[in-house]
Amino acid sequence: MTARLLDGPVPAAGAESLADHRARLGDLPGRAERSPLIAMLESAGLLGRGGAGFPVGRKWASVAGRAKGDAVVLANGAESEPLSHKDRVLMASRPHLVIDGLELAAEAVGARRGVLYVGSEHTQALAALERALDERAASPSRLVPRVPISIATPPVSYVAGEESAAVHFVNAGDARPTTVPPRPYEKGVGGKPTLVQNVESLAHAALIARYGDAWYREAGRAETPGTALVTVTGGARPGVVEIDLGTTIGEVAQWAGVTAGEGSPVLLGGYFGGLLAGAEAWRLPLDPSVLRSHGTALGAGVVAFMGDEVCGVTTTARIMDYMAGSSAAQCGPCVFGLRAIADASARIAMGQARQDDLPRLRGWSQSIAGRGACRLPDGATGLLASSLRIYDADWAAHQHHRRCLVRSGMARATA
Amino acid sequence: MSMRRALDSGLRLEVDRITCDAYGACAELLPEGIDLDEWGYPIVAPGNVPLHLVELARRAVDSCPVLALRLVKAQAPIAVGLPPPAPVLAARPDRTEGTPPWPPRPASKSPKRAPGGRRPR
Amino acid sequence: MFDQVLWFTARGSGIVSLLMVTASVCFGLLTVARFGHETWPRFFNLELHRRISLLAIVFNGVHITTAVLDPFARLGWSAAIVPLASTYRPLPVALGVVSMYLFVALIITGLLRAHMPQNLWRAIHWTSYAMWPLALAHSFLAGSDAGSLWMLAIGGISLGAVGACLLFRISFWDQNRDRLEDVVLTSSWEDAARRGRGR
Repeated sequence: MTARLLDGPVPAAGAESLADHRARLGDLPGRAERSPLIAMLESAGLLGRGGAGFPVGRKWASVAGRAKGDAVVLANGAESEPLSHKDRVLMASRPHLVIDGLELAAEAVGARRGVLYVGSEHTQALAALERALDERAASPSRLVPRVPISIATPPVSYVAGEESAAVHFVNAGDARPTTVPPRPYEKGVGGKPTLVQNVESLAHAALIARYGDAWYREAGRAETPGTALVTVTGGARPGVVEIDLGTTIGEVAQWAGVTAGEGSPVLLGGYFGGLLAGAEAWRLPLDPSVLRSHGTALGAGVVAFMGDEVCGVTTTARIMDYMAGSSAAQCGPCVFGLRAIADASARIAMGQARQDDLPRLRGWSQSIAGRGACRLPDGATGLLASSLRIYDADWAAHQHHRRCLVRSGMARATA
Repeated sequence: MSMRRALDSGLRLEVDRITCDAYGACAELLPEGIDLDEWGYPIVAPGNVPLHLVELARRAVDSCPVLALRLVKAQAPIAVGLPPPAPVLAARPDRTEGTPPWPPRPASKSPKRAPGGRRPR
Repeated sequence: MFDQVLWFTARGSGIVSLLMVTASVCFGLLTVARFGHETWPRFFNLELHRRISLLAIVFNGVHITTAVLDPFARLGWSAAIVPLASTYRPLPVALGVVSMYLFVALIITGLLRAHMPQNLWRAIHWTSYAMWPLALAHSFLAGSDAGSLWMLAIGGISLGAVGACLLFRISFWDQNRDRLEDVVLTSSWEDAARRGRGR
C-alpha cells in the first residue's frame, strides 16, 4: 500500500501540527514557481473522492469560469456514509493538508471565503481542524493568500453530505438538499459560485501542488492513476488504509485479514454502493474507470466484507430501514418508496413476508431511482438491486419458505 | 405496424421533486407522457417531448397548482465545463424501468391541430 | 331611463361578480383538497378557478364603474378608490373597496405567478380568506337588495358552498407534508418485530 496522504506519523498519533507538517512536506512553492494548479489537476487525472468521482480539475475550472473573485470553497467533510471513516481519519490526522488544499482551491478559483463542512459528531476531526486554524492564524504562510475559513457543523445525517444540502446549511442552517438547478458551482453559498469538494480530494490537490502531476501519476496500477483512502471492514484488521488505485479487492482482503472465503460478498461503496460476489469480483481492481465499466463504483471508498455467516437479507433490510429513516422528508417517491421497501424487506427478513412482497420489492428497486431531489433513493435502490441479485437464493428462501439459509446452515451458491 | 417516428421538440419535462405534492393534474392532461405511481407522484416518460405533444405538455405545466412541472430545453449530453449529475452506478438508466416511452404520433391526425381539436395558441 | 340602466347594471353586475368570486373561492379550495373523481378530473378545479376569477374581475369592474357613474347613488370616483370616502353608507362601501384592492392584487399575482417568489404569491393568496367575506358583507350591507328573499337565498347558498368547500379543504390540511415526516420517522424493524410478537 502506498502512503501519500497518510505518509508520516500514523493516524493514531493524532493531528499533525503545523510545524511538523511544514517540516515533513516543506513549504508550498511560491506563487511564481507554482504551475497553474487547475491545469496540473487536469493532467494528473485526479478524480473526486466524495463518491461521484468527477474530475477535480474540470470542476475547479467550471467554478473559476463563473467566479468574479467572489467564489466560495466548501471542503466537504460531512462523511455521511456510515461505513466510511476515511474523511474523519484524514481530517483528524492531517488537518493542515486539508486546509492547504482548501486555500489552494480558493486561490485557483478566485474565492474569498472557505468553509470546512464537518459533521457535528466528528469531534476529533473538528478539534484537529480548529487547532490547525489557530496555528495558522498564529504563523501565517506568505506563500498562499489567506482566506477567512469558517467551520460549519451540520447534524450527521445521510443527506447532509450532498452538495446542495451543504450549501443550504451554510446559507440557512438547513442541511437538506434543495432543487437543482441552480447547482452550487453556479449559485451556492451566499448566491456565489461555490466549489464543493471532498476533503480527501483537496488533500490530494495539496500534494499535487507541491510535487506535480507527473508525481501523482506514478502511483496507480490499472487505468486511473493515484492513490485513494478506503475504509475496510469485515476482517481482522478493520480501518482506513491508503491504496494504489487498481489494487484488487482480493488484495485488500488479504491486507485486512479477511477470513471469509474468496468470492464471498463484498459491499463496495457503502450504503450508497452495491454488493459484489464471486471470484471475478474479488479480482476486480479498485479503479473508478474499471469499476464503472463493470456497473459498480468505488463511491465513498468503502470495502466491507460481509462474510459467509451474515444473513444478507437481514443486513439489507436493516440498511433499507436506515436509508428510509434518513430521508429528508421532502420528496414523495423517496419517503413512501423507501419506507415501503424497508417495510417489505423487514417482513421478509423476519419470515413474515406477504405474498407479493418480493415481487414488489423488485419493482420498487427500479421505479424509485431518479425521482427524488437528491441521490438517496438512487443509492438505496442500487444497493437493494445488487442484494436481490447476489443473495437471490436467500431472498427466495425467506420469502417463500420463511427460512434463513445462513441460520439453517445451508450452503449458499454465490452469484 | 408501421410506427411513425415522432418529431423531437427539443424540450423535456422536469419535475421539481421537492415542490411536487402529488396533485396529479399533470398526469390527467398528459397521460401519454406522465404516469402516477402508487402514491400519486409522477413518473415521466424518458427522453424529449415529441412535437405533437408539446401543446399538451404546456397545458400540463400550467395545470400544476404548485408549478412543480417545467418544460426545459434539452441539454446536450455533456457540455464542456459542466459537471454532469453524479451517478454512483455506471450508466444509471435515465428512465425508471418499465416506464413506457412516449407514444408515436397517430397517423390520422393533422399535425397542425393539437389533439382534441382545440385551436392552437 | 338611462339612470335606471346604470343602477340596475350596478346591482346586477355586483351580484354576478359576488357569485363568481364565490365560485372561484370554492374551486380554489377544491384544488388544494385535490377533489376529483371519474367524471370530474382534478385539473378542472384549477382551470375553473382561474378562468372564473378573470371573468369575475371584469364584472367587478363593470359594477364599480356603473355604480360610480350612476347619478342616483351619488358616489363619485373617490368613493370607489378611497375607503370611507363615500357619503353613501361609507363603511359598507369601504368593505367593497378593500375587497376590490385585494382582488386586484390576487389577479395580478395570479397572472404573474411564475415570475415571482412563491412565498410572496402564497402570502397574497391567503388574503383571499379576507377578500371573500368582505365582498359578501359589502353585498349585504351596501346593496339595496339585501332584504329580498332571492338575495338572501344567494347569500345563503354562497355561505353554504364556501363553508362546505372549506370543510373539505381543512380535512386535507397539509396531509401530504405531515405524512412525509411521519412516514420517515417510523421504524420498519420495530413494526415487523411487534407484528411478530403479536402472533
